[in-house]
Amino acid sequence: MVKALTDTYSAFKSIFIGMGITMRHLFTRSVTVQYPEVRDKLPERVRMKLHVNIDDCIGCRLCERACPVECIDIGTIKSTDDDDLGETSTGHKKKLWVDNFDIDMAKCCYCELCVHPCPTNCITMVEEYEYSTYDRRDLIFSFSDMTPEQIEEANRKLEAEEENKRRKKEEARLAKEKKAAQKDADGGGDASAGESSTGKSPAGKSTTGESPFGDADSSSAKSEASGDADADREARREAREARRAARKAEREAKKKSEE
Amino acid sequence: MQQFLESFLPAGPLVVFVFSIIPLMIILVYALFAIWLERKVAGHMQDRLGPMRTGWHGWAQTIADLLKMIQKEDIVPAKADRFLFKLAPFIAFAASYGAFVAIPLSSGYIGSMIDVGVFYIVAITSLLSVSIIMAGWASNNKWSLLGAMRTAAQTVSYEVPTVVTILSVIIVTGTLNLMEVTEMQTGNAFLGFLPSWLIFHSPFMVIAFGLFFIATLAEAHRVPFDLPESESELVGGYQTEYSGMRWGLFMLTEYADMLLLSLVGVTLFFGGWNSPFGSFMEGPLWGAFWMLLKGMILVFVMMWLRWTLPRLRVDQLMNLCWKYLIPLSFVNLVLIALWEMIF
Repeated sequence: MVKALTDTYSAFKSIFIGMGITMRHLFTRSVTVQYPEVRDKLPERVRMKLHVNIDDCIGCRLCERACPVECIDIGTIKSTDDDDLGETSTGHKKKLWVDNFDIDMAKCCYCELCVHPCPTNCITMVEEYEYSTYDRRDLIFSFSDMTPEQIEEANRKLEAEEENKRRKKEEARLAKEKKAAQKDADGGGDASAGESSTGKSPAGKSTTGESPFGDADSSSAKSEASGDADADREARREAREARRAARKAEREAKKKSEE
Repeated sequence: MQQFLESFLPAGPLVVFVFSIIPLMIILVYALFAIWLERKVAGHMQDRLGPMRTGWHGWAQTIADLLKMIQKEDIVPAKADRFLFKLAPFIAFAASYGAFVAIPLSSGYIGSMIDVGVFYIVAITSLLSVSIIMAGWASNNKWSLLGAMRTAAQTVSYEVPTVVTILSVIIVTGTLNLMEVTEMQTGNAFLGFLPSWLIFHSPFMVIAFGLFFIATLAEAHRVPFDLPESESELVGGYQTEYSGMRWGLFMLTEYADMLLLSLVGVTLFFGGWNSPFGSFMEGPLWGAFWMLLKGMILVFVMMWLRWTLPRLRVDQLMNLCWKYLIPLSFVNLVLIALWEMIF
């Protein structure tokens, strides 16, 4: 009987204490943040999304190499001598066209290892976290501002210049050989030596002349394919993969040699 | 009230219809408000905000939910007893709606002036447990059946203290008619200023009210006595297999039941439609206002308790009823009877 009464007393006491607590909480400020309208202040150095200021990119590929998951993919084209790409805001000279700068945020592990190597501080983590999509392919962000025409133009110019250079080199070599032959002829008067050198030269020219021709062929084939955007992307992807494989092989070889 | 309606409506079935539909309107509007209030109270007691998107502080949330429930597919489990399964929610709501007939909502409105008012309410609310057992059995689901069995045990047990506390009030009033019970409480006689409500009649009436409130909490299946539903252990109890508007009817019943039992408590202990300020703010409309306000305060206390107390175990529930509430209510009954004899 006494126990029942004390039990009842303690039960009611605890119930009223509990009700007091809930009543107090009813009038305390709630901790809810009304998310889309009100946002929490984010801490400094948050890592949410990579952003590239492509105007400052010099195409050095340090970020691509630093990435542990290979989510950054950069393609560059050498600029020709007559093109001046200007300087970055940090004063670096830009020498490469960056025709492709894709970051796959679906692969990204937010380690920020790519941010620190950048010599021009053009790749940064930004405070943007609402970029989910329905298709993970939409998570590949392209930062290159070059149009397909510009890329083609840059490629063509580079090829033209290279061919030009090669031809100049060849001509210089021929002139040198000619000079040497003349010297020989003047010195020894040996006809057979002169004959052999002249017989060699057209053959040499033809072999060197063939390669630019072939290159032009392939480039024209490429430009034809670029009409079809998908095929173009496919081709680029293949090229990218090939580059990547080559780099990987190189790295492995290096590792092996280090071992 | 009926005469008032007859003054502008053609006499006959229409008047009866309008007359009898008034509590339904009150219940529906109240349910919209109470469900919203429950969410807000729950949210703020847990330092959250509760619904905030639909209208000002989410006032239209219940309406949105209602629209959603109406659109839902009406699913009846393949192995269920179709007839009983479909019938159960209607019986549940009919039971709690039927009880409103004997409650004087104001001095000008009572569904029926039956002389056995309280007795009728006690009788018809036990139909609720029938409908819950029906729902649990017809669902052909183990969770449902467990919930239904718990309901049977709980309702049968807690009806005893409810009835005994009501009986102790009836000893004082001498009538079962709730309108007469309310009329007895008119005026401010106690100690010169206190309203002559029955709760101030004697100290034992306070105990009686405490017992009555605990017992009705169990009757309405509210936390801490929500074992029939107990969503954390029985999925949803007897509601497990219900969806859409049938489930909505069960929900409506739960809230209507809360209001009903609060109104019975208000009528028996807190002067029903009487104004707490004597003749100030009196009249049929003010009566309805005071009645519903007092009822809502008790409903709020029920919500408050819900977010304060954890659920009882089945054996604790039975313990509380048979070892504490029933002996106490009987002792209290005897004490009130003695008080009545002496004074």
